[in-house]
Amino acid sequence: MSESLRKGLYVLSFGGIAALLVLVLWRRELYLPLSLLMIGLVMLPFFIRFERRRLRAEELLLVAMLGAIAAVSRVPFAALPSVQPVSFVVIMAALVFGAETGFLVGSIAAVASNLMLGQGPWTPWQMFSWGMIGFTAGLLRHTRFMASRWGRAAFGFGWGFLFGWIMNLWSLLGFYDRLSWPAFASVYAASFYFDLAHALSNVFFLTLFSGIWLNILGRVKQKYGLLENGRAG
Amino acid sequence: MSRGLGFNGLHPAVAMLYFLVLLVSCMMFTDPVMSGLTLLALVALHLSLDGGRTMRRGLKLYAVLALFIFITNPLFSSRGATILFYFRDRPVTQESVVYGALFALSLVNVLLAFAAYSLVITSDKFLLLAAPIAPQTAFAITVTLRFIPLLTRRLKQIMTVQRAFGYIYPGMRKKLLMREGMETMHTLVAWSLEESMQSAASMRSRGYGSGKRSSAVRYRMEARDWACLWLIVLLGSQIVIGRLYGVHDYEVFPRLQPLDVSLSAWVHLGCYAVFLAIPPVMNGKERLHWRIIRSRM
Amino acid sequence: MAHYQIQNVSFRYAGSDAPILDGISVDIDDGDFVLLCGPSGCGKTTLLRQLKNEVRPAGKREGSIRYDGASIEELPARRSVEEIGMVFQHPDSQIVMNTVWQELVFAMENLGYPSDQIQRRIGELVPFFGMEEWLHRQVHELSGGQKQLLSLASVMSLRPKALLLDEPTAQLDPIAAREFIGLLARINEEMSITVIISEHRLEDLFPLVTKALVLRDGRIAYAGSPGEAARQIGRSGSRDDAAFLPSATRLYLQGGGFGEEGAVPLTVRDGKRWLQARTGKLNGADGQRGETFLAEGKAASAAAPPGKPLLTGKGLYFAYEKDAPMVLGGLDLDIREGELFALFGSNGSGKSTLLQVIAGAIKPLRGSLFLEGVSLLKKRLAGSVGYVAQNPLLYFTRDTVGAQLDDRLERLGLEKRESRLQELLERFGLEGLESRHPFDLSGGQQQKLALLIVLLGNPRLLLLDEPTKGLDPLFKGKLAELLADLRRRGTTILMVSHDVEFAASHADRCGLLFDGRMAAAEDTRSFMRENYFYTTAVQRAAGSLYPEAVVLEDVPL
Repeated sequence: MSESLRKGLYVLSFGGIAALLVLVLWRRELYLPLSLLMIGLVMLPFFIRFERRRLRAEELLLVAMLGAIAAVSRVPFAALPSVQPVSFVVIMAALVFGAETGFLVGSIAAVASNLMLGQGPWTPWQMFSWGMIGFTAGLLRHTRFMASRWGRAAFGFGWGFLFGWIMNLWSLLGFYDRLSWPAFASVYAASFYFDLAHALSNVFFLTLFSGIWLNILGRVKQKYGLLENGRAG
Repeated sequence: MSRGLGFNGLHPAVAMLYFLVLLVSCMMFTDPVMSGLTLLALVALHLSLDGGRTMRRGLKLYAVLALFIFITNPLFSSRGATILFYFRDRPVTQESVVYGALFALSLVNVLLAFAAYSLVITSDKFLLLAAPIAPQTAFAITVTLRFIPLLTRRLKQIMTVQRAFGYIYPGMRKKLLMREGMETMHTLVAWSLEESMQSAASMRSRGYGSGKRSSAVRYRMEARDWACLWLIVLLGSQIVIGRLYGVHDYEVFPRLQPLDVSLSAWVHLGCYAVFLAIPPVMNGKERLHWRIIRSRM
Repeated sequence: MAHYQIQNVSFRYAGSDAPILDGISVDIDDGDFVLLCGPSGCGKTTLLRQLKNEVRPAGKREGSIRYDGASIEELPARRSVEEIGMVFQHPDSQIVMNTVWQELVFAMENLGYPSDQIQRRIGELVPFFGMEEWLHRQVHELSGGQKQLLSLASVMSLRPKALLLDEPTAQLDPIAAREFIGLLARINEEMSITVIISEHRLEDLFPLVTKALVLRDGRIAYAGSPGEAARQIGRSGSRDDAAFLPSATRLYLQGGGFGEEGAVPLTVRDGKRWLQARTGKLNGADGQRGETFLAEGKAASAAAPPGKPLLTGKGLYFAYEKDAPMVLGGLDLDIREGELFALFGSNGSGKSTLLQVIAGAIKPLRGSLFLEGVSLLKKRLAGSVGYVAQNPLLYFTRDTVGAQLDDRLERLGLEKRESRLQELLERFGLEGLESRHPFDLSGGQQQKLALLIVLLGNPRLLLLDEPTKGLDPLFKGKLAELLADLRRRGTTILMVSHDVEFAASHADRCGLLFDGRMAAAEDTRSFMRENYFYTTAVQRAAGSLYPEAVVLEDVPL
């Protein structure tokens, strides 16, 4: 795909988002459908790029396998309902294989587990949130911040809350008469415990296990020359 | 692939369009009559799809979410003229209570519609629909879906070994359990990624990546698909356009409005009712068909 | 014209000096059914993978491989995919799609076949493979045997001219393996497709093939029709190589038959005829089957098993879910100190579940289980029971062998010096591998490493879940030696298996699990003698002449 076309696509999708935002302000009761559309548009460029790449079988399998690993990662922790390792797996995949793969792993994990467990209005939001966790982790992967254990922990802690906040939006946008601060506060207070648990388990996993995971994934990457730089960002 | 006679057997693209219109309607309407009608139709749809099993399973979640919105909305919004009582010095108005109830109802509708959607548009159909638009993404998701049960089984095998070693036992401390859980994951990740390279050999040896893929399954648009499509397009545009022009634009604030009883409102309502009746009628017809056949035998 | 002409082919993997293939030359004719056998690491898989461009490993090859008269490198990609099909060993790793249907059409979709053509081919394939019942299932609901059939069907959908199979039945139980091999023979005979298969399970395969190649250290040691190859092995006098032959053929070699004229017996039927001709008798003088049959009841009840009881289970019940059928339904169990007990049973008979119950991984719903008088269900005895699952990969959590062993020692609270580590490493032949990644070891080494990890805990009772699955006969022999050594040092072994031949040679007692209960449990000899299907090929071939014969050594030839 040519550079100008790609730029055009990005601009177009962001233009679309801006137009939608205006619409949203105009018609209150369309918040939810429009927000879903908006989320879809934000994710579109990632999937377009993925579609345009000619992937080797190994690379496609890696994305699918990592997505599946993230989707099943809750099984060993079934006895601990508040522990949520999916974000950790997505961050690790992004740190080793880059931002785009990180986004794909996160969003594919979300869509696959929703396809199995039943979809809802939260599906696109989950795809977006986990995708973005992967994307941002991948963008920062060569920085000093992410190289340090504390940096990674802080990143995980932050996203633990951010994730919950984004996920709260779908109910807030759709089902409150006015986006007042108290309404915000109440929804966010209701989810505080879950978000904290998510943030803390991210910190726990990232401080204790990111080294081991970087080794495991790094070995696979090296052994098979997968998703090399320049192709995967 | 064989198709049933009922709503489930509809061309997936047509069914998808139906749900799209349905979901938008669920989210658009705040009119109590329209929302109530939607709820009734969705319950009927669920009953005709799987006897209401999925609906019953989700009931608790729906109730909690709806209750949360119903209770919190009036507490934070003091719009409206009719003050019912004061809560911590804030007026709680009749209008915002009604508004909360209406939005709670609309939330339940949205959730029920999504649940019905998941029942009709199964992952297979979803991926079939996605394949022409985004072939590589659809393919990656299919492969992911294949791996999820496999990996779940592997996790259980690994945990069996950990239990036999006494590394996992009932009543262990949370932190230890989290550590052991990660050990389980390490084994799984290393093993599965290693093995997916064998899968790659199997894919390549069967021609993956050698050119444009085709699709084995092609859903043909049959007569009933066209009929449904026309019905959905006709009624759907009527519903959406009517709504945008302000029919059934139920305003709660500043004061509860009387229900819209104009002629256009009745026409609008009628269209919506016919639209909602499509799937239960199709499923009912199928059931009737089989009952007649059985009674003749 | 030969389908494949392999001339003086040698191969080294990238980054390795030692050749894994060393001057292989063979012609494979159109419609041949070729068997590649030999010990693990002899180059079978490497040779197979040279025969298809898409799966050729990275490395340096010398010599030439010609396919249909032209060099295989020049074979166009599409022809290579369509004409040469390959089925791999592991049922789970080669299936990538979610449903049977999707997997079946995967190859055709990749090549862009139009949908009508795909439908038509599916319509032919499904009845041929008997897949009607499970065509619309998801892949994870299938048995291992069904998965391998599916992989074969998916490859066959392209109508290949040659089929390459890399130990396709190694992970299957005997019944599924037989079904798979039967289907292969049909494909070969009815379609005249060239089949090249590498396999350890030769009892069923040997009589069917047209050409057998025995590889050793990257060279062809023996080649020819199965009979010729057997004769060559007989003449060489090598016991190791004879281990790859079917029992009937080994009986024949043992009796010095390879010097005679006439066909070499490859099946139990032919072995029995040969034996009858050889001895000039139809039945043994020392009693017939019927008599032992009558004595069965008395003998079984009279003979108390030797040794003190070590593990006793009474009335064990287990089910996986509330309304699911009982996997164990009132099972009684009695394992004696120092013995090797082999437990048989079909798939789903509850064998593996029983092991997991004894290992403490799952709790039975009802029943009691005592190890030397201590209830295993009430009190966990750390390390008293060791459990080795089928798949050694389940045991590897670290990225080097050394780290894996250190982790185990640390969890056991042992210092390296005071443990048996060094001694075990030496005995298992695993020294010097500490810095390697567990996944880079050979399959046999992985199996030994998993066993070693378990043994570091010094278990009194060792539970083995199908320890010989997928192993070549030579490694089975080594494993048997290791187990014998362990037993001399006081370890009792309970193993679950499908491998009748292995149990016949090495187990003290055998049991048959059926319908969640122990249907039979007696000493190996009477167990094998009284059984009709679950017995050794030697017993089936020679039993009428020598009722006591269970293993080759029992036949006085």
